[in-house]
Amino acid sequence: MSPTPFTQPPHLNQLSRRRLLAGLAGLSVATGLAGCSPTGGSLGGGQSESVSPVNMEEELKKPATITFWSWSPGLDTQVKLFEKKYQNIKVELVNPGQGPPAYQKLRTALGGGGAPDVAQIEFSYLQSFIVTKNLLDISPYGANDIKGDYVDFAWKQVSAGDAVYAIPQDSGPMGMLYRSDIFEKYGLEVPTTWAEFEEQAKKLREQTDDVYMANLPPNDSGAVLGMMQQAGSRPFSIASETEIGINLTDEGALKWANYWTPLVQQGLISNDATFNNDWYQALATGRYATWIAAAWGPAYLQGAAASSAGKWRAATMPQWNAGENIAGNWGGSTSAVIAGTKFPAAAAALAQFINHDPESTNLLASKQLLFPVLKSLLSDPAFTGQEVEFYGGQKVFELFAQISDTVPQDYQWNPFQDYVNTKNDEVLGGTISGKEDLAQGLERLQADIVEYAEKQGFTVKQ
Amino acid sequence: MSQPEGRLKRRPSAIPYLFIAPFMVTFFAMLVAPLGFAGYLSLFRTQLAGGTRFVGLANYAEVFTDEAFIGGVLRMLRYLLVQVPVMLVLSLLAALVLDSGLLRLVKFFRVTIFVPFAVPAVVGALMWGYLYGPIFGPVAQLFRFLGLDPPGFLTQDGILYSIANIAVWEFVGYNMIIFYSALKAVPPVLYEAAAVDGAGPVRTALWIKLPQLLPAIFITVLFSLIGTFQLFNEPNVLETLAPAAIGRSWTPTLYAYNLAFIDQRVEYAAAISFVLGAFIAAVSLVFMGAVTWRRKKQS
Repeated sequence: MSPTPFTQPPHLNQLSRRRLLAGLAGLSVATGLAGCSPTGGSLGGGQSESVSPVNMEEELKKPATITFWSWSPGLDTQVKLFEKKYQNIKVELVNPGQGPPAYQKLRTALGGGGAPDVAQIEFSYLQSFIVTKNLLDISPYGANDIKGDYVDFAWKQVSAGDAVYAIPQDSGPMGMLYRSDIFEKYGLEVPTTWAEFEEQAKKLREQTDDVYMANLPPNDSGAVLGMMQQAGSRPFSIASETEIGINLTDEGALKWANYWTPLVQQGLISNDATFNNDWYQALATGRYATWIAAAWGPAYLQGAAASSAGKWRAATMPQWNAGENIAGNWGGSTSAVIAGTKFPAAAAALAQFINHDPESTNLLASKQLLFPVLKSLLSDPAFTGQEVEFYGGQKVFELFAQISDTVPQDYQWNPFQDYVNTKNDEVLGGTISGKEDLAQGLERLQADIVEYAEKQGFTVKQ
Repeated sequence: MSQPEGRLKRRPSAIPYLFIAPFMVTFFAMLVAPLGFAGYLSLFRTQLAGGTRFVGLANYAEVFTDEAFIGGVLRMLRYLLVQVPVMLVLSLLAALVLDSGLLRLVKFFRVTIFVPFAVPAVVGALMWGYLYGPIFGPVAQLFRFLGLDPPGFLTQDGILYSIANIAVWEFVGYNMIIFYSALKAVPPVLYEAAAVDGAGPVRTALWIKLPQLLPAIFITVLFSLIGTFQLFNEPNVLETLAPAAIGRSWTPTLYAYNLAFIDQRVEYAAAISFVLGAFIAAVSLVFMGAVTWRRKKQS
């Protein structure tokens, strides 16, 4: 055997642009954590030092060359629109890959030089870059002027009081995608509560061993935290730059764990690793009756499970209490301006243009297939009225636009999401794979994350 | 030895240094300087909240109580015991058969056995990952078709063997080539003598070829030893398929990688790397010492 050199971990799935949203991303935020400003916003750590507004019109006439890192395919179209509008600004678009490798590259560049001026960063990772003071507060560059145009939960993900650390690009309000053919074959009804979901799972198992009601992924903290978010869990809170709250065993989390444990143990649901070839095939061939997914799921499935076209439908997530209407959020990204940019005005203008200009955002929705965060798009019949054939002509985007309003507003992330993701796979993922008690998995995960946070110098409130 | 006087008196010339400069510059810039820098780094600790401070040998102290690291090293020892013997025995057999002269199409078999080594490790691991797939992997499908439970390739219990299997597949050809070329260097007189004494192919293999191969076996064991502790690509690729079975610290190098790039604990990762390096050096030295000692005893 010969020595094997280090390589970048091939963080999978070429298949999907969507993984970006998917993988790690984002829920939304934390319970009224102290420390953040009273006006809301879920990011912590940044005190806006009441900077006076910059005269953007003047600034943007000056020549500038900026670099933009984004993994969204085909974004050069939008970049050209920007360059056309601001003739003196040149933009170099770079695709750094998506998910963890992209952040590793960004960190390396931040440490060693060559960092971009604007970077695509998921909601769940913003706090990780704020803690290292790498993101610029772009409120002096007019960011707050467009605040009201975004759905509230998305704006809260990028702001701390009046400080704005990024412009939201897309989001992932969660819903339930299901196979109408499987539901019909086994006489299942679309569950509106988790209790009904369990009943249907049992009904399904009585008739067949080949189909699972759902799959609980052992390797996706984004999905799991999103589901826990719906149950009321707010595991992270940012009190100050050095003080954080970590509670992965709060009431909502345990409600979630105690519900899913018996389902896993009775084999009513599967526990397959997701975003790999086996899983794509499983989705396509009908191994799962439902996929608890997010708003990017409808577009994603069309690529990942193309052969199952026409069989899928979408619905809201089952609720914990009948009559409620609460979703979670899984995924979503932003354009953030990197502190240390030589052209903050141009960079801020690009971040805003890409995610606010009508032509650019229309393209984000129609070409990059990103789920919009702009209120205007979410209420635009041209977007919501699309009858998607993959979903038997259902207006899935209309449904998810409605779900978007039911995402909790107060979800916060932590300053070390990379660690939380990998540790989740190892610890909670181990519990799921081993069909053990999920609550115990969460307890262990909690202990590990607290230990890590303390090693990193944080004061932790549990 | 006495030197001609003229030579001694000649003024020291810069020319030799110019000739070795390319090597020395590269050597220092690419090897010594990074090592020195990593060593320097390993004496500090940077916290996300709290900044950087000098901690002396605290990082090293942590390594020796770090269950994730020690667990990884022990796992590699187990892996070593499983993978290396299987791989070397297969390589040996392949080399002996190819060398026996009993086989047709020797070139074809030689190349075929060697081909997996030419496949990049990441590609190989991806391919095996597909074969191991628990639901739609071909093996799992075959087992289900026969009404059997598919083997748990990607489970906590099975993963060590699955990864060992990939490594065997990759490196059998490589080691076979080493053995095969060593066999080609065996003096023909030995074979002639054996034939005269009435030894058949099996006897020749056991009593002539194997002893002649000892130095080659020694070197392949040493390489395998070092390679084992550097195992990284295969578990790193399979991690996405078997997240819970592999996790963050399945091998010490994977752990160091995660520490540096996921946990942002570069300094601690440097300390881990030094300890791992020292450990590999120690194991190699012990192995070489044992072999030398045995040889001396024999002669």
